[in-house]
Amino acid sequence: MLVIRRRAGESILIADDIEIEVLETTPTRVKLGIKAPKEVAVLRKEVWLTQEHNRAAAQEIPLSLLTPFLSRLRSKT
Amino acid sequence: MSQCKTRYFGTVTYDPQTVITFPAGLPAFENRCQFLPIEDAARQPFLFLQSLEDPALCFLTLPVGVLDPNYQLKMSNEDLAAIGLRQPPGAAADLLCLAVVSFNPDGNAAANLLAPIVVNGATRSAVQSVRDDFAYGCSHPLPPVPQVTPCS
Repeated sequence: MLVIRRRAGESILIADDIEIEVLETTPTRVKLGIKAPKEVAVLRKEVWLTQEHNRAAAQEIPLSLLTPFLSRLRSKT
Repeated sequence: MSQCKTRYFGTVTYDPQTVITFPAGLPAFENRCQFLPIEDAARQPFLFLQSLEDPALCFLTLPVGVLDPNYQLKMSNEDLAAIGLRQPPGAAADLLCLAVVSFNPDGNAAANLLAPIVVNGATRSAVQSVRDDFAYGCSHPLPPVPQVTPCS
């Protein structure tokens, strides 16, 4: 992994057309500004993980797969 | 009453007032906005979310409290606004929190506690609210029934 130190107001460039600027830093967070062509998807990683999980969850399953979980889950309701 | 085709229950008749609307769809399913919640007594506490726009699309969900009774909901102002709430909802708010569950062919199951579906019961609008922290994982394992060792 490439590691670069930047301060607020400084940028990095990726290829010819993507720019990521550090707008603001706090002890716990970094605020970034991202300029990229429309066709480049820019996502928080959590959103991407959720997309992948939703795609997996959308697959049809035999409902018998639920059976092993039912009694344990019901004991918690 | 209306009718729709479903993935797991054939054609079902439903009350249109029970339909849940996701104004922005769900991540990876942005154009699927109308879902019918289906309870099946034989499979509770699972709740099925059947797409009304795609009969082949049905999510299996569990109430978040079943998986983690101490779950702390955290939503962005944007997500709150998407379901008609202006500020952090108080305890009085009629909210239903569901975790989407996926199953592997090997029978393991995982619930997404990183991005709960939050339904505003008052408006029946919903959002899958992706947290901006990693306080919870997107593949929280479901507890299976423990294997019983047969007595000899």
